[in-house]
Amino acid sequence: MQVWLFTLLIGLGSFVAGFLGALTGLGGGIVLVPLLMLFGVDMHYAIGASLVSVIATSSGAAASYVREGYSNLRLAMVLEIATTTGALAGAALFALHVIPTGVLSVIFGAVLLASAGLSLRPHQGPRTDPHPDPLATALRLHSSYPSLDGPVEYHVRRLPLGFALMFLAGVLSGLLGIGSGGLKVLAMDQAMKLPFKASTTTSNLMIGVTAAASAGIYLGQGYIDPALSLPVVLGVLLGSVLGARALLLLNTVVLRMVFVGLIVVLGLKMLYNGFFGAAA
Amino acid sequence: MRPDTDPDAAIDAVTGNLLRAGVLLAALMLAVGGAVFLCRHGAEKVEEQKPNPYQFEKKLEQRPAKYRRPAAVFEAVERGEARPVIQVGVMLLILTPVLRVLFTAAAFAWRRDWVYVVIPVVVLAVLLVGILTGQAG
Repeated sequence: MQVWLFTLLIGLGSFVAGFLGALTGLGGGIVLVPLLMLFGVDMHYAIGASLVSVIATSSGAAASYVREGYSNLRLAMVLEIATTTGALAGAALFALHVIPTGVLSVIFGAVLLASAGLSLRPHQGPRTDPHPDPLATALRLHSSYPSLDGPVEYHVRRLPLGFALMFLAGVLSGLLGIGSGGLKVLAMDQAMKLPFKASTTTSNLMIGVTAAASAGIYLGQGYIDPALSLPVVLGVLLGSVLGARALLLLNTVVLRMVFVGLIVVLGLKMLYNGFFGAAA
Repeated sequence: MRPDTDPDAAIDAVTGNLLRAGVLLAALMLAVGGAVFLCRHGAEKVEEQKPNPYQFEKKLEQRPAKYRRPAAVFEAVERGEARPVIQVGVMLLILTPVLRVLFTAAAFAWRRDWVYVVIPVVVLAVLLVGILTGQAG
């Protein structure tokens, strides 16, 4: 295949991933690696390109959320200690080839299916919280986010559990080239009991730094192919910007189902590849 | 929406702008380098590219240094090569969150909030380990 056609096709695929990801709020990053592998791209280069694109989209999104005051910067900084160390561990596991590709594929498939499952759960409603974590209090992590009725205050609970989960999220990010936004939101939403808007926006802020931690290793080891990064990064960026705008105009229920369906299919494919070896 | 008295507003505003600027600048480099790359190499076969995205080189020496090591990347840019320009954009993208953490440390130092100077510095140390480890070997 000629380079221009390859670039165009990858760009289109990445655009769709970014668009659907932003539209549904599920993030396009998780389907990029399986999608690229469907095109025949080697898993190493796919993971490298995906990781770089994840930095771009999350930083772009986080820029707005931070400025408007939704993201909890201090909490992000504290948790980033966990996510970045996790990312280094994950990237080391990947780069040292400790884990066979087949096992990686199975892990990836499991993560994909878990993401699909998570997205179908209802969100926690507003909660009254009697037990703020004392460590969180000491670190001044409790905060608020803006709303039409004025600032909504919240407290942070179970910081150590959240910290441990963030380490795991970091490992997955470094190992699979994903943002692990789903797990990060889960940790903040379920373990630390943050309101949903604070969890998602703070997660977005942390994804960039987490990915940057492992990207350093990826770059040096040559997993980042510039010719591949070109269509992937630009495609996903453009797609997610337009997807975020379209959110206000389109009926997202059907598209969300389509995207969740796609995630499930890709997850099953990754599991299959891992257990039985990829078809030639 | 945000109360004017919110002391974190200024830090958050600069942080947001920094992130946006980094992404936009990196995207620009990708676009420029990418356009030149496609003009020069668009008609070639993907399998004949170095690196070949369909096949991962097992040996590190076979993976071009001009895409892996910053010094080699800039050298190649000076020679007028296109893909290294893309790679500069990629490196900028990786650097953007790093700069954000650095800014956070500086902003809280200005405020004399030392706990929140130490925490970003720890994160920076981890990031640095990542970058240095990647360059080794």
